[in-house]
Amino acid sequence: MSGDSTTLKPLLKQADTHMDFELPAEGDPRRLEVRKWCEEHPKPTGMELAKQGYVVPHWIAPWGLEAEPELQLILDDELDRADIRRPNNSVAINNCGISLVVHGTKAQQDRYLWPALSGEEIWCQLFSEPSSGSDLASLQTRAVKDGDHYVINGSKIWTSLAHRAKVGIMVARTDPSAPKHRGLSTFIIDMDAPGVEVKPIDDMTGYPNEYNQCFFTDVRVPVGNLLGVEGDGWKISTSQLQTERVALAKPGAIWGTGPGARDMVRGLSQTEAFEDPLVRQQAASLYIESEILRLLKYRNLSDRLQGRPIGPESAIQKVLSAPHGQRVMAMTLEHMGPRGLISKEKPFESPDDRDEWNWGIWFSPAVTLGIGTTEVMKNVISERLLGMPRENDPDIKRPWKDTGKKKEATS
Amino acid sequence: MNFAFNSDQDLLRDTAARLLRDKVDLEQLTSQGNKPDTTYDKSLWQAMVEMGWPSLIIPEAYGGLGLSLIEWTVLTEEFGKTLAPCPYLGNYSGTLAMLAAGTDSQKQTLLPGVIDGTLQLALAWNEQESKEDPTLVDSSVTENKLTGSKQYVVDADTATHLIVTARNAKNEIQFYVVATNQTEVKIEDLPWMDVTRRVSRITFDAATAEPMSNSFANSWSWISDRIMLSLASESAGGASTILEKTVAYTKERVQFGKTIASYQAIKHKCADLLTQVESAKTLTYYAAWALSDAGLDSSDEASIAAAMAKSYTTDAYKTCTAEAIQTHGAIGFTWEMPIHLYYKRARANAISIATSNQLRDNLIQKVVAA
Ligand SMILES: Cc1cc2nc3c(=O)[nH]c(=O)nc-3n(C[C@H](O)[C@H](O)[C@H](O)COP(=O)(O)OP(=O)(O)OC[C@H]3O[C@@H](n4cnc5c(N)ncnc54)[C@H](O)[C@@H]3O)c2cc1C
Repeated sequence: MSGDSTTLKPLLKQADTHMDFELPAEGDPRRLEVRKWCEEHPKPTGMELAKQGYVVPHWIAPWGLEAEPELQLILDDELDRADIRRPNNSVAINNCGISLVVHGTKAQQDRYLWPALSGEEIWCQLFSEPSSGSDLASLQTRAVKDGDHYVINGSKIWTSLAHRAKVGIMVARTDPSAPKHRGLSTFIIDMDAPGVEVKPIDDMTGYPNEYNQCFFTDVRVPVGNLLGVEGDGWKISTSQLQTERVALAKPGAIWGTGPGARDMVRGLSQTEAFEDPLVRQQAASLYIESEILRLLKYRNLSDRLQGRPIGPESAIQKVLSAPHGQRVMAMTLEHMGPRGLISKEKPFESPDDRDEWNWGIWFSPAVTLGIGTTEVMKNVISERLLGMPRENDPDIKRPWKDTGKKKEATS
Repeated sequence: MNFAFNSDQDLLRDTAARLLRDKVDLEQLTSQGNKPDTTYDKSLWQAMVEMGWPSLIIPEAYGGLGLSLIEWTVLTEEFGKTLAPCPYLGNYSGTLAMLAAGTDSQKQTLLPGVIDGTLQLALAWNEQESKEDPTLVDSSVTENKLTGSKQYVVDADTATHLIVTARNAKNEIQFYVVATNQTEVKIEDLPWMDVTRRVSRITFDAATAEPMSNSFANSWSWISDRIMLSLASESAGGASTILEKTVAYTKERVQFGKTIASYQAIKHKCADLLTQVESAKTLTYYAAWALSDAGLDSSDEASIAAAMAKSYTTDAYKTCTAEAIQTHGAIGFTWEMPIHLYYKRARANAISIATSNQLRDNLIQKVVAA
């Protein structure tokens, strides 16, 4: 039914409202300025990018440009076009670094932020423990003050990148007699310090390890490495989990990175797969989901641009995107047939996809776990957005030392 | 980049919500034992005409309000929340066809009547029992006399004029204007399960028909994309209202000593439904913008946006209404609870114009071709 309806164009009023889904135009002066820099620095070092403010443009100076969301988009776009990659140090850049800007001392900022943003020192996030996952606040790792040091004992687990990290951001218990959320503090840990031991944990992908278990035995951390004040650990760590940079890059299936539904559709279209109407249905549904995710990001961005409080779209985006990514990977695997079970096989003839598809297919079970499980996010949505009753937590008001976790820790 | 409505649009939404709250009484339809066959409340339609809403998108040149599809979407989302039993959908569909295919003199003659409420349009295109394919047309016109029949025509029985597809002398599909006050036009009201909307079968027995100018092939996708947008926005509105009512009910209903809202099976289901409702709204607003943007007006991208919104939103509406009944328990299954009105509307919307499967199938082919 695709008649040429160009002639109908002026029939209805064009929207002259301010609703608008366009990205900043090609000739936008902000864009041209970034493009010029990229041309002058075709192969910038991590430090050059960091000093230019391009790694964390949304931060305040001197690390960032205090960029509004549109400039962030322009930067993403232009760096992508120039094939310039930002340093790969996601914990510092996307999660924990901002805490040093907000809560850190000048000495902490000077010592840690530049090497982090330039990618010279990799960071890791020391939150989860063997007995404390979703219920992070019940954690057991202890930090006891001893003169001008804290002495740390305990174990952290599922720590991505710990085997390569120089710096760890840790939440530990400083006050066992306070209720679990209140006795926590955040520390900047030197991962090379005596008493720190990192053991890789192989994961189901069979690729080089993603995460590790870390053991801390009488690790002495200078008091100067306490972030903020004692007892602020919960506040600081939850705000870290919430700070997310606006990224409008194509919605990749694995936590927003790697190939996504569009790539899958393109790949499938070059095969005979779409001769099957059921495959077309499934692919179209996933395509629509990926469009929803793209548009939810736009809504989120628009809220920020208008200075409105972030609406429900941000929580919804999270709860939708992880299972969506799994569905994309599952469909791709199914398309491959038995070949999909061969290690490192590629689903589509495409020169530039490296191992991302194969890794993604086998990594995808993790995306509904890490950064908050789907179930916990649904609790959050029903409680915060729909006002339904909170889950019952028998420990919430009791001093941590009187809870089951304490008994576990000492037994 | 801006996803927000402006203050005029917010005001329109508030006004619509207030008027519909005053005028629509679904309880009248759901009181025990009252299964009405005539459901349109004339005073609601009259009030809408006074507000200028039926002619909201009609250009100012013809005396309409001349607003964009974004305003229309704001309005129809509110219609969907209350189901607004009135002939707005049929009249809107007919108006779109008139704008797209009518001659200037047809527009000059008919649109002022649509605006002041003395005339009312409907669009008759479907001839098949089970296929939503507008090209399966057997009705034909010879020497300005139309013979044939149409199925499932929305709001035909209150319309003064029908816009009808039929084959011309060259065997091409063309639009015709047909007045309903002729004895050669027989309109038979169907016992439609969604009692908030009226649907008819029509037979034409050498009825006088006046040809319109722009060809069917040139205008159908423009028309149908805009009808789908309206179905999407009323579905998004209906789904959000039903979810709201359901969540409110779970906070009141106590079983095993606590509200059912405190059970995680119920909480997680509601979280899933909210995810679908917000996704539906997001796709709908995007489609409204895409269809009313100068740059995208007639492109495949705008059609894709309409198809995504219609298929996803009506599917979500079906899910929300089914889960609403389940979550209410047996009371949700009674005639007295209005949930079934929404449940039925959702199912009707889902098969109107095109099914979700058809739309997804078209969409993937367009995406691949792009
Ligand atoms: C690939 C990967 C990388 C990770 N990287 C890091 C890292 O770098 N640093 C770090 O600190 N952590 C990391 N994690 C850990 C991650 O944060 C935890 O996996 C997550 O918080 C869940 O904890 P858990 O695995 O102990 O599961 P549990 O909390 O034990 O959950 C088990 C199951 O119970 C469900 N459940 C728990 N509580 C509830 C509830 N209240 N209601 C309903 N269901 C519930 C969960 O949804 C889940 O299905 C990583 C995890 C993965 C998979």
